[in-house]
Parts: sequence; structure tokens; C-alpha cells
Amino acid sequence: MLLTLHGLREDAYGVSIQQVLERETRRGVSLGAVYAALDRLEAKGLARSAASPGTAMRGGRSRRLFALTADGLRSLDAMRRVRERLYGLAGLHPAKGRS
Amino acid sequence: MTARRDPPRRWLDVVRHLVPATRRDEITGDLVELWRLRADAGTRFLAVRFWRDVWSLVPWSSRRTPSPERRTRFTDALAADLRTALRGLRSNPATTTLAVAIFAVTIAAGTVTFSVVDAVAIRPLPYAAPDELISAMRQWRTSSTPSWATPQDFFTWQRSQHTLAGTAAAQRGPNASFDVAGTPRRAGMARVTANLFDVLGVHAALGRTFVAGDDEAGRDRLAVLSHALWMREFAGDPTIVGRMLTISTVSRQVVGILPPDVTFPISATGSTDVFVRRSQFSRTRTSGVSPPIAASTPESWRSSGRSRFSSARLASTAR
Repeated sequence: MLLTLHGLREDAYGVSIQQVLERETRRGVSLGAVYAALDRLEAKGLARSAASPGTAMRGGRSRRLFALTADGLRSLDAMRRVRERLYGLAGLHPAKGRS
Repeated sequence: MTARRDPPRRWLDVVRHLVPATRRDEITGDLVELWRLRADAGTRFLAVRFWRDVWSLVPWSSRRTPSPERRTRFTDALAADLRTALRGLRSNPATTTLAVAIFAVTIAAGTVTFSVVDAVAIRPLPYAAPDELISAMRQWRTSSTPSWATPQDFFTWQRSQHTLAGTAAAQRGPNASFDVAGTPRRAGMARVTANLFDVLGVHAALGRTFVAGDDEAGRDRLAVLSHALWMREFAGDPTIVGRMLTISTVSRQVVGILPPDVTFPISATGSTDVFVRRSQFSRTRTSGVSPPIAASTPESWRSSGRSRFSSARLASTAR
């Protein structure tokens, strides 16, 4: 979820996150699951959100845009290093292009 | 068939009631956008997918903790409501008094009801093997309601049954009157068969209960007291056993004290604290014997399949 937020940059909101996750994991992802994960990240201070004006695609309804906080970025970096160490320990290299 | 461009407005109205007010616009916007993306991609079963997404929102919505602002609004509203209620009560003392009285009566009624239900249905009977005890009542063919047996019924059943390990009976009232240090006292009294406590599997806490020989003439002026009465009226004095006590003008010897909480019959109308022997049974036809109880030997009871009382049909209930 942190990587998805980071990858979507300024366009991370419920639907865009759900679409990326469905496409990349090739599994159905419900909106409720996305909202629950985003709530947890916000509660931990790893992400922040703000309302933004709506678009025509949404019938003019507003969006809640999410972005990583500094703590979120640090957490993402720490997870990447742990992952690389574990791969190194196993004598493998992390797959490129997917995470 | 062309897919709808948007989900029906009524469906979105339902969603608006399911999600937090602060997120309504964003969430319905997400659902509309998802619908349009799927419609553009030619995805089938748009309605099913829509409702699957809505269903996934329910646990999320219900788990969401209230924001600090919402909590503050709630506590402020609660405090304001309480202040308004107190002001209303103070300004109308008559209504307040009536409301308090109604509360007091209903709480008392609830407490009494629970006490009775607890004593009769919840708390286990204070006897050795309560699941082997049966209370027998009389039922006429023409009536659907069982009635208490008469002394004659009991003696007939006692003679004619061959299945049960023992049969015993008790008859409530009238109350016993006696003096304690010159002060008159009253207590609930029951006349019981000498084997009542054997059938119930109850042993005396002090002294003894009645024994078979106590049924004989000349040995009938005996009494057994409940533990509660012993503590209340005699301060737990152990020398009461063996002493003579004038109970309702008849001098009787106290032979024993029952264990705490043991009594029979169990009654919602008052406790039974003094037990005297069966020879005092009223022999009139109309006087009921509070359900005669019988102890069964489970094997014989099960193998017989039914009680072998030769008299009228009985409605037997096991407690």
C-alpha cells in the first residue's frame, strides 16, 4: 500500500489505488479493504489525506487524496532494506520491476 | 443491451446512509467513478460488483472510530441533555416524585421477580440428588390443569407404588407461634412425613432429622428447625437441640437444625422454618398436600418406562 501511494504521487485516492492493486496483484480488491488500509496508515502517521475538488468522471463529487508522510517514506525505505537483506541472506536478488 | 452510465440514484442514497457523514461525497464519488470505469471497459454484472463494493464498506464503516470532533460533539450533547432533564425535574416536583416512585416500584418488582425466578428455576435445589426427585400432582381426565394432591391421594400412592425408592410429603401452615425470651414469635410451619429428609437426602447440621420410628404414636411431639430460624431467633445457640419449645400451644422437643438454605416446600410466599411430623396432617379431602415428592432409583425408573401408580393418572414432573 505504501508503494502504491508513493507510485501514484499526487493522484492517490480510493479508486486509483484500488485499480492499481487489482491490476498488479491480479486479484479483486474491494473498496472497503482499501479504505481500511488507508485509515490504518493515517492513524500510524505514515500517510496523510486531504479533500480535493471533484472531476467530471465522478459527477463532480470530491476526492480524498492520500500522500506519504516523512515517516511513511522512512518506513518504506526501512522495509526495502530489510527485504534486500533477507534476499541477500537467501543468496537471491530482489525481482526488478515488481515489489 | 447498453449498460447504464451511472448507478441508480436510489442506490447511492442507500450508500449515503451506510458511510460516515464526513466521507459521503468522496465514497459515492468513488463508487460512481468505478461504475463508469467498468462500464467503459465492458465489464459485466455492474450491479453485482457495485453491491459487492458497498458490502465491503459496512465493516469498515462500523469499525471507524469517532473523530475527536465527533466525540466532543457527542459528550457536549449528552451534557446538555442531562442539564435540560435536571432543570425539568427541578421545576416540576410533583412529576419528579411520581417518576421516582414509579422507578422505585418497578425496580422493587424486578428484584422480587428475579429473587423468585432465582430460587425456583436458576439456583440448584439444596438436596443431595435433585435430578432424582419427582413431584407428583393430581390431574383429572376432564381438566388440563394439575392440582395438588390431598392427603388421601398421597397415602394411596404411597401404598400402591412399587417403582420409587421413597415417597414423602409436606403440608404448609398454619404458621407456628412460639415464645423466645418472653417475646412472641411466628414462623412458617410444615407438617412432614418422617422420611421427608431421608428422601431429600438432607442430613441435620446439628442434632438429627426425623427417623422412621418418629411416625409412631407417642413420639410425635418433635420439631426440626431451619438454620435461618435458629440463627435469627436463637442466635445459633447449640443447646436448643434437646430443649422443649411450645409451638402453637403444643410442647415439642427440638431434635435438630437443618443445614443453611435447606427448606421444603420451596415457596415464593414465605419460608418454612419449623417442621413437625406427619401425624399432624389435616385429613380433610380439600386440604392440599404441597406436591408429594418421591426419590426414584434411576435404573428402575427408566426400565419401568412409567410410574406404576395404580390409582388415578398422575402428572409427574421431575425437577
